[in-house]
Amino acid sequence: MTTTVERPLEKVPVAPRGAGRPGRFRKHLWSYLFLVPMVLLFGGFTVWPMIASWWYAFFDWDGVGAATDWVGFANFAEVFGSDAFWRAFWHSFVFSLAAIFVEMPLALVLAILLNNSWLRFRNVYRLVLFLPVVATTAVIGIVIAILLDPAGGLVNRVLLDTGLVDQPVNFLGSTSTALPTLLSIDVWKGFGITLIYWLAALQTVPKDLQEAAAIDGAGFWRALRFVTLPIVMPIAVVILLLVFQRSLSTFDLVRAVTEGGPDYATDVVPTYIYRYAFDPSLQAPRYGFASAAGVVFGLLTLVVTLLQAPFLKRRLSGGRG
Amino acid sequence: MNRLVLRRNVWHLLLIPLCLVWIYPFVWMISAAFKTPREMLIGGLALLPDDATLDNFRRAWTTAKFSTYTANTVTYSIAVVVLVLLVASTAGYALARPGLPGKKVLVGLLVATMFIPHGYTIIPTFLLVNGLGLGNGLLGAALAQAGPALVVPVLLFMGFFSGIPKELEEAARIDGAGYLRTYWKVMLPLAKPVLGTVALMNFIGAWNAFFIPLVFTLGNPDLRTLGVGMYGFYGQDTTDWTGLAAAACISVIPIVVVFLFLQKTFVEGIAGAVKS
Amino acid sequence: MKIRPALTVLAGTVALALSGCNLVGGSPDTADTGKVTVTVALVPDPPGASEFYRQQFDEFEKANPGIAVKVLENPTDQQLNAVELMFQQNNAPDVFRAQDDGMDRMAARGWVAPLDEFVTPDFLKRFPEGSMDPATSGLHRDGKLMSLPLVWGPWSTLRVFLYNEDLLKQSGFDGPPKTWGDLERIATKVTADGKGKYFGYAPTSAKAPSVEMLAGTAVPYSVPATGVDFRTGKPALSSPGLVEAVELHRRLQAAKVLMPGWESWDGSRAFKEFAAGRLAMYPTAPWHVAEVRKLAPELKLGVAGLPVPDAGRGAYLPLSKSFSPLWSMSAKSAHKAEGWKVMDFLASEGFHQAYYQKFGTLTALEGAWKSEAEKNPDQAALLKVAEETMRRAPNPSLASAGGRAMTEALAAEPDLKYTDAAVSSIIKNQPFAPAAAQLDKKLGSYLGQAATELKGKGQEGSAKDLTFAGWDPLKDYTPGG
Repeated sequence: MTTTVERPLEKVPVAPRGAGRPGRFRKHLWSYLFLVPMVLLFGGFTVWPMIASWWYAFFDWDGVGAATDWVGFANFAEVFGSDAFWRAFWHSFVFSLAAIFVEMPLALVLAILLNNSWLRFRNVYRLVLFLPVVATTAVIGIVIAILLDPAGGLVNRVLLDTGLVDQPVNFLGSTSTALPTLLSIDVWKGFGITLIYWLAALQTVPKDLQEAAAIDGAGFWRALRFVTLPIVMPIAVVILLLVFQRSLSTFDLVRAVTEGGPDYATDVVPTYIYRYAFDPSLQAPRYGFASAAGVVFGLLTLVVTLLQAPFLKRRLSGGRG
Repeated sequence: MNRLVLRRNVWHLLLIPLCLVWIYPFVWMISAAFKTPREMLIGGLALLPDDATLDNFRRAWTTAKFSTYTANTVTYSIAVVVLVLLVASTAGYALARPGLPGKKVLVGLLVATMFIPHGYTIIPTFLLVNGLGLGNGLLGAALAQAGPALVVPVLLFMGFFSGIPKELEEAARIDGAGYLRTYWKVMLPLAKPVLGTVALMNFIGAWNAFFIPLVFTLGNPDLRTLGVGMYGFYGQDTTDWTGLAAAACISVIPIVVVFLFLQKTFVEGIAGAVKS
Repeated sequence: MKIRPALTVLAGTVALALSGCNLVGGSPDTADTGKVTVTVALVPDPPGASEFYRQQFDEFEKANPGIAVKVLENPTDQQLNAVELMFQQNNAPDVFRAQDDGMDRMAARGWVAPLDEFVTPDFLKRFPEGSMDPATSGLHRDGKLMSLPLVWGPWSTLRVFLYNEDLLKQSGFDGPPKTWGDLERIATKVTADGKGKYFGYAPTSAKAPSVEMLAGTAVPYSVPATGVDFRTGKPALSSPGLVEAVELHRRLQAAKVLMPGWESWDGSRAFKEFAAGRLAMYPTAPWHVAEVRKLAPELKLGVAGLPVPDAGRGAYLPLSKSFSPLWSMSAKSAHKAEGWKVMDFLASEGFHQAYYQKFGTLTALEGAWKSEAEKNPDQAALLKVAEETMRRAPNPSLASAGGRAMTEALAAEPDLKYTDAAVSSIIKNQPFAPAAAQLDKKLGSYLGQAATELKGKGQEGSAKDLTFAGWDPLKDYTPGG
């Protein structure tokens, strides 16, 4: 609610606690002034649209004119009862799992390697690995789809010529391989940014500590285990959050490559919502229903995030000085 | 020593193939941009075009108005970056004050919204911007893009400013600098790495944005950005492949240049922000 | 280090200078030339359309010095949403492209202006005899003309079978399949002979529209289109003809006869593969023919009617309306007279001829291309197939208000379409009949529910409005006959 955002303004302490240093009140006033732009922008363009869509979720509304057709919780009931929604939710979740359990560790390994100053060309490597991050998903997704095509696509040609397979692999066309393929593309695309996060984390390890470990005769592995990793771990939580957030929005990729197919094997929540809100083939968009699906997805994600909260809290409080 | 050099160079045997795999789609895209439409559809997967043509770039640059779109995208991206830097750094600075009442609530709210999808909230956003009378310029779109993108930058700035030793601020205050001047003259220059990081992240995001620029430039396609222009190559049933590839090249190159410039700052910035 | 801020500032200034006041957005430029500006919202389709329309409108402006045409292009799949939002912004275009259902979506919001006040008898004479009758034109709603067409009437519902004569010959077949049984045999043999280099058959695109096309020769067109048999007004997805069409594809998929990867094809993949000689035959909408020709001028391309069930034809392709809606005028337009001039131009002989020349599409004004098309073997073949395999069919949404309401209600429930179930059964190799029976049950109860809801709103509409008892899908249908 917007009011909670503004409430701090009412709570400006007239009788400050603590030492009561002069200027403290004024200092806080300044702080609140500094927060105004953020509260306005964030309140207007994030919180307000969210609240508005919660409101729309109670209507049967096509997104045009005023919403008048109040249906209560019918939209929510339909979302909860929709197998397609739960399937999409599961797929979205799988994208997050892949990002967290595949992409993050792999990126860490590579970051440790690229962090060594003796490695030549490491800037070139870094740039190359970062390239997919900046490419427009819609275009690059289609390029990859062409490369993976079972009839004459390059990847299958290589696989067939080297004798690794005797039948072309239908990467995107079979319900069993489509999702793993998309997950790989997603990892490929996000890898660069996660790598940069890890590199940043590794930079926080003081050089003298590393050198000390090396002088102690601690081998590379021991230095890694007893010096580097313990320092990097608290930061990993922040990286985890960032990666998790990114993995929730895989809309562009899925839409460009498979449109959720085949047979909805790669449908994720954002594409599911899009189908009801903006699909051009719809006679009347079901914006209210799409909003309800968005709200449910938001709440479920929040629950999943909160389940990790105790673990996060411990990490954060340990990690922040 | 020689054995060490050898062992170190072995890594290149792993990294070079990896990078080739990584970069192959881009090479393919660049080669497609120089092919004729016919060769693209019928021809094989050869990387070298049979008869290279600049026609696609010409088509993208003039007919598809990519010259205009590029200028718009630069404007839009810079506007978003400036907005985010200004708003997030002030907020981050304020939130880094120790003992600020209400801080927990605000931060909690920020983090909570991080995980709520907001693609479908475009309609309320659109109505709001129209109500503000900003429906006809890129500024409205920039505001709409910057709003949801604030969370991470605010947290980054907050983390960074919290980590700065108190003595610095004390010194500034003894010199007679007020709150505003301390922020502007002392703290912001220190935060260069974070500024670079946030700038780059949001620049990339704004550069490739599709939905928001589309919705906010409906009445005036001359304001559109590259991300939207890209979709002009998709027809109802057919796609202008080679034009799309050329357009993609045009739109990726500036970003790569920006990244080259900022990459060092970028890594330092994230490091500085999460170090605390 | 020092250079960077300077560079950024420089780039920023240059960009701002280039894009002028784009950031804040001034008022739209109203050039004081005394001209009236008509805005037209369209999509860049087919490729090359952007230049084509601009050049055509330039000619129009030369002929009409008092009017300037401003083109607003939207990404194709965003056109409807975009135009809707423009209306909400009170910034609507004067003329816009809204196809088929899209036009109804706009009309339902009261945004489409009737054109009758502008239409003259001379204007109507441009169109084929009888095609502009309000009861069957497809462009009228409640007796008012709401839209002008772009393409030839049969163009939207005609389906043809393309085959590569050379590939069929190599496997010893000297003609296209006449029946589904032939299709299965020929496709199997050609794929086997292709050894992975080329394939016998593919379902046209990811949603397997080929099922619907083939089924259209076995069951009334309304069954795959809406789920309802218009002869009885009852759900009929379990019709043997439709089930067999799915099963045929399922068998071909299980036997690995279909070209692999079709499960993720977009609408344009099939003609590319066909033009490249990697696909021997497939059923399609007619516009693919021109696309194949653009890519492969020399290919021995055969165009035939769709193969029919082994037991013989059960239905013809429908001519359920004369035209598909495409160009509409905004009800909010401030200068309708000038807008009409533009629309009149878009429905002129000259424009249609230019469109045909440029894209090879058969347009609504037959006179503009008829003599040339008859000389072009591909197009002549299309005309012949249309002649032989299409018959007039009933159209509930033109027949009555209740029929339209029911059709719209069905269109609003994509979950009741059979398509997903069919694709699922082909890909997962499961029988289609049980899924069809289940859908029929759902559809039956939905029809009742929709009728009840309409009644509650005081509107007409029930399964009765979807019933045309006298209709024989093997004969031309005359309304009321």
